[in-house]
Amino acid sequence: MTLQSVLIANRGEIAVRIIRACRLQGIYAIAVFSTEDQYSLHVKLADECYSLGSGTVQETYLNIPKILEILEKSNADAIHPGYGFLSENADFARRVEENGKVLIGPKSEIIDYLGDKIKAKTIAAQVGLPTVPGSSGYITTLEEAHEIAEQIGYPIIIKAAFGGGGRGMERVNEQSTLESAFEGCQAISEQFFGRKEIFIEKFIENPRHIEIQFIGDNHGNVIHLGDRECSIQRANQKLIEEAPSFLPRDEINQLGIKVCELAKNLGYVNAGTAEFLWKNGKIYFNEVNPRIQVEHPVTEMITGIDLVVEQLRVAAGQPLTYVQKDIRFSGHAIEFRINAEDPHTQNLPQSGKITQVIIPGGSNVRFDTFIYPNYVIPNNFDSLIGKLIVWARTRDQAIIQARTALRELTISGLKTNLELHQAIIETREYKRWTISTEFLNQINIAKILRNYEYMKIAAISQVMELFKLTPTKSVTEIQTRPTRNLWRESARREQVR
Amino acid sequence: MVKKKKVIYHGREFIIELLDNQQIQIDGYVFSPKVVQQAENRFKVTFGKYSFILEKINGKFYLEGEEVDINIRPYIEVENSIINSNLPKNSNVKAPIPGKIFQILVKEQDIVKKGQELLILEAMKMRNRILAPISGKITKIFPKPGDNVFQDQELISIMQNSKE
Repeated sequence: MTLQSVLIANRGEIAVRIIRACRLQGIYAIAVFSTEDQYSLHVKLADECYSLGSGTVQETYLNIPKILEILEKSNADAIHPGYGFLSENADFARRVEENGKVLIGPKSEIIDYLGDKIKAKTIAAQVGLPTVPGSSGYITTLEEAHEIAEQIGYPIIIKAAFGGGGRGMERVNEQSTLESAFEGCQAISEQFFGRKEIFIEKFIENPRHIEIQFIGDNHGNVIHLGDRECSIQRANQKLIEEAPSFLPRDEINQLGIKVCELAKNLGYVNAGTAEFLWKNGKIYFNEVNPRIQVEHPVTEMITGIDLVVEQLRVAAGQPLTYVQKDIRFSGHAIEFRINAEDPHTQNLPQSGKITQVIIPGGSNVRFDTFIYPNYVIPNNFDSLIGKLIVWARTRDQAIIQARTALRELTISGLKTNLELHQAIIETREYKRWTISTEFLNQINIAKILRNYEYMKIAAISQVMELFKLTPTKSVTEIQTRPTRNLWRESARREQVR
Repeated sequence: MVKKKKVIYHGREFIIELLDNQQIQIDGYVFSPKVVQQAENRFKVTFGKYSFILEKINGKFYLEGEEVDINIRPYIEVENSIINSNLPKNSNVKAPIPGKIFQILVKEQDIVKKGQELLILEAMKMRNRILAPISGKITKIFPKPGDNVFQDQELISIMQNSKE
């Protein structure tokens, strides 16, 4: 079977990324968009597009009945959920399957299975992957909690078995606070995820985040594409990712082989990522993400494989293009998430009109984005506006590539975190690769950014003073100004008439 | 001689001091920028190992390619000099920075004293109190609470008291 057309149930850079892969495969790309997104690049690039109407993400990109209706109406063969939104929603996957369509991702029962953290841990342990010490199953009583905490030692973390998105996790440092944390976590778990099941793990302090990319097909083949390190994070959101990680090559291969075994045991088809925590020479399995990840391009850069194209191939029932021994890793790739956030003001998300964009180029520089000059960034969505990816033969050279590309990349009209990235790559810790997920809390980035801003002000003031220059006052557009809601306006007109 | 200036850089305020030996002090930090004019409208400013390119294109400043929003004013409060000068009969209060009208504290036909709070303008998460530059009667209020306003947009018209 070949796929004729694919509906992309996402927006932003990943929707653009998927459209590009569809084009390469000769597949007709169908986009969906909310009214706020009507001028977005994915809508312009798609072969066909359908409106999700206006409203919150629940009413648009998370609106399962509406997206299924468009899937039916557009007569698409398959649906690509991208990342975020409906990508890990087993119920959505099941309903796509029931409609006789292909979901580009693992089967619904696998998404379900992996969503249960204890089941995922158990199957990982079966293939010999080390897991974080903790309860072997769910716990229901405080007595059990005390018993396990004594065994593994504090600090511990109590987790909701069906939790996610950073919710339903409680860190406990000592016995005296166990009871309140235990009850609090149970309550949150029931409130947000509708299930009371919780479990306990040893809390791993400032670990490094390592993950293995894998992909399987319908013919029993699963290969891994090496690892990535995503330790530079802010509030559990990844900011800089790179491939490969600092682990020795043979250790990465050993992990990769075990992850492939896990995927085979599950009957996992399509792309996935197994996440690990690394601390003091020990690595612990954390979870499997059953979808394409934001940071997949760094793997593409070191392997030369187009992961989204492979996703489309295996979704069509074709075998993988590669077997494990074809996979060669070369060089080092780094990805920087460019967010519309002001690092000077607690990373407040920004929205507004992009007045100018200069995209860096040169060999081995890639910029995945959906912005263009005069595009107005809506304020309804997350703040990721682009991903800058660089590749070089070694990590040190990749940092030089990054420095050059970050300096060239120019986005005017709203504030971005570009300077934050520039500051991070100049720190000793980043250069020496002694980072952890606590990096941004340990380094005084705010001070570096402030000094940089002072220099900029001093530079401009000095030129203005010495050369008696002043800029003509420009009437800058208000950044929070909402975009006109044409749909709502016309709906209103209709009602008036 | 030290010259103190108020700099509004991308909506945030800084006080800078231009020192004698071409040094600049900001918040207690002293910088010694070296400026080289590389072309008519292109300047390279160096601080040790850091350097910045400043360009002026069509009247606008660009630092490292990014458009600069800067406004440098004398540090002495502008308001006082306006009050002491010969004032026009009618005075329009303008938005000093772009922002959102958070609250309007007066209504049309109100009699206000100079220095009285007229409205609160929210910009960059900071609330700026806009004061009456003169005593007089409010003749017109242009924006509503919640409106976004541009820099220099007229906010309130005040007719000066005839007795002043």
